[in-house]
Amino acid sequence: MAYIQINNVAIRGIAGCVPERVVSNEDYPYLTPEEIGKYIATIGVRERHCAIPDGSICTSDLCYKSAEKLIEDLGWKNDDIQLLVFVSHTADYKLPSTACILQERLGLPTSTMAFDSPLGCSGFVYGLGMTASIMQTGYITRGLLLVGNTQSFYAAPKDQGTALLFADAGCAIALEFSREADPMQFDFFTNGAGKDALIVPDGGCRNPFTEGSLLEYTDEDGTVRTRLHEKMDGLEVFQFASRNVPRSVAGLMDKFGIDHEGVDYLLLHQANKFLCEKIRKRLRFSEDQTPYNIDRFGNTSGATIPLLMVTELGDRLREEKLSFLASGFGVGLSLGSVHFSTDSIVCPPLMYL
Amino acid sequence: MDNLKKYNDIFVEVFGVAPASLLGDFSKDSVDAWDSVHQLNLVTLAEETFDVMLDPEDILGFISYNAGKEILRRQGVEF
Repeated sequence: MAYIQINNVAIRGIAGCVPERVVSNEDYPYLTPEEIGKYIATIGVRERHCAIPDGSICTSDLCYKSAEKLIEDLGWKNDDIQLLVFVSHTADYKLPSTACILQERLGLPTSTMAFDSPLGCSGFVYGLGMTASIMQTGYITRGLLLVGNTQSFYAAPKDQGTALLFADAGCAIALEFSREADPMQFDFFTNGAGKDALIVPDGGCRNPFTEGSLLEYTDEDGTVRTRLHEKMDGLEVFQFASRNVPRSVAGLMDKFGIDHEGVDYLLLHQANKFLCEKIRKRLRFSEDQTPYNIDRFGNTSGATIPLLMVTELGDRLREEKLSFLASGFGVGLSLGSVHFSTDSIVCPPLMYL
Repeated sequence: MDNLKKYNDIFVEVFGVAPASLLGDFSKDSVDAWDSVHQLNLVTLAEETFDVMLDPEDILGFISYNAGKEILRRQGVEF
C-alpha cells in the first residue's frame, strides 16, 4: 500500500456541472422493459446526463463552468491561482494539454502551473493527492483541481454493460494553503495486469486509428462494438473493486487511526449500486453514511465523488465541518482512497450546460 | 415454498426461461444472455430470497445453475 499524508492544504469549495440532456434508461431500445427494470434494480442507474458527441460540450466545458462559478463564489482573484490540474480521459485534443487551454480560458496568469493527468474512476482521489502535494509547502497558495469525463460516447450502443451506465460530468475543487487545515491521508493502489478489463483498444499510439477501427464486430460476449468503443469486463472490475477497495479503506483507517464514529460520510465512486453496497456492508458503514446519486447521474468516472458531494451533501457542506472517507476505483486498474475534511465550504448548486 | 422452487424461480425471473430448461447444463458457457449484469441479478435475487450475503469469490463463482446451488448450500441453504 502507498500511504501518504499531506498537511497544510484545505478544500475551500466544490462545484459540479453536467450536460442538460437527460437520457432515460427506460427508453433503451435493445432490452425489454422487464430486463431494463432488472438492470435498474441491480446496477442502479435510471437516467443519465449525456453530452451529444459532436464537440459542442467537452469535459473542459463542464469543468470551466464549475471553476468559473467556484472562483466567483469564493471571491478569489484569478491572479491568485497558481496551479491548475485537469484529470480526465477525455481531453479536448491529443495535444496540447487541456489544462493549458483552461488556464487561458479561465483568465489565470501565465505564471500558473497547469497540466493534465489521464486517469478515470480513481481520478478525484489521485488529483486531490497530486494537487495538495504540490501545495503543501506553501509556495503555491491557491490551486484548482478540475476532474471530469464525457465518456458516454465511448459506450457501444448495444453494449448494456456500458451504454446504460456511463454519463458525463465536470467538477472543480478549490484548494488553499492553510496551516490550520486538517491533514489529508491517502492510500494508492495499482494493478496494470488488469488493463484489458476497461479499455478503448484503438486510437492511441499502441493501436493507431485506421479504417478498421470503425468496423463493427461481434466480440466473444456477443456484443456488437468497434475498436473505438470502451470494452469492459464487468466481473473483472467487480473482482478488483470488491477485493481491494475494502482492504484499501480499512488499511487507511488502521494506518491513521480513523474510527467509524469520526467519519461523517463514506463516499464511494458510483460504479454500480450492487458493487457499492457490497463494499459498504463489508466496511460496516450505515446506509445514512453512504450517499448515492447513481440513479440520476450514472457513472461519471472520476467526477462521481465530487458530484456526489454537490448533489447530496450541498447544504451540510456549506454549513458544517465534515469528515469523509472516499474511494475511487476502476480503469487502470487503479484505486485511490482518502480521508479528508471540509469546513463550511463554498458549494454552489449543481449547474447544467 | 421449498428452497428448490425458490431457487428455480430466480432463474426463471432473470432469464425468462421455463423451469425444465434448468435441468441440463444451464451455465455462463451455454446461455448466450448470461453476462455480468445477469450474473449480478442472479446473486441479488439469491441473496434476497435466502437472506444470505455472498463473498466476492462466491459471486464470481456463480457461473452456472449447479454452481450457484452449491454456493448456497455452503451458506446453509438446504435443497
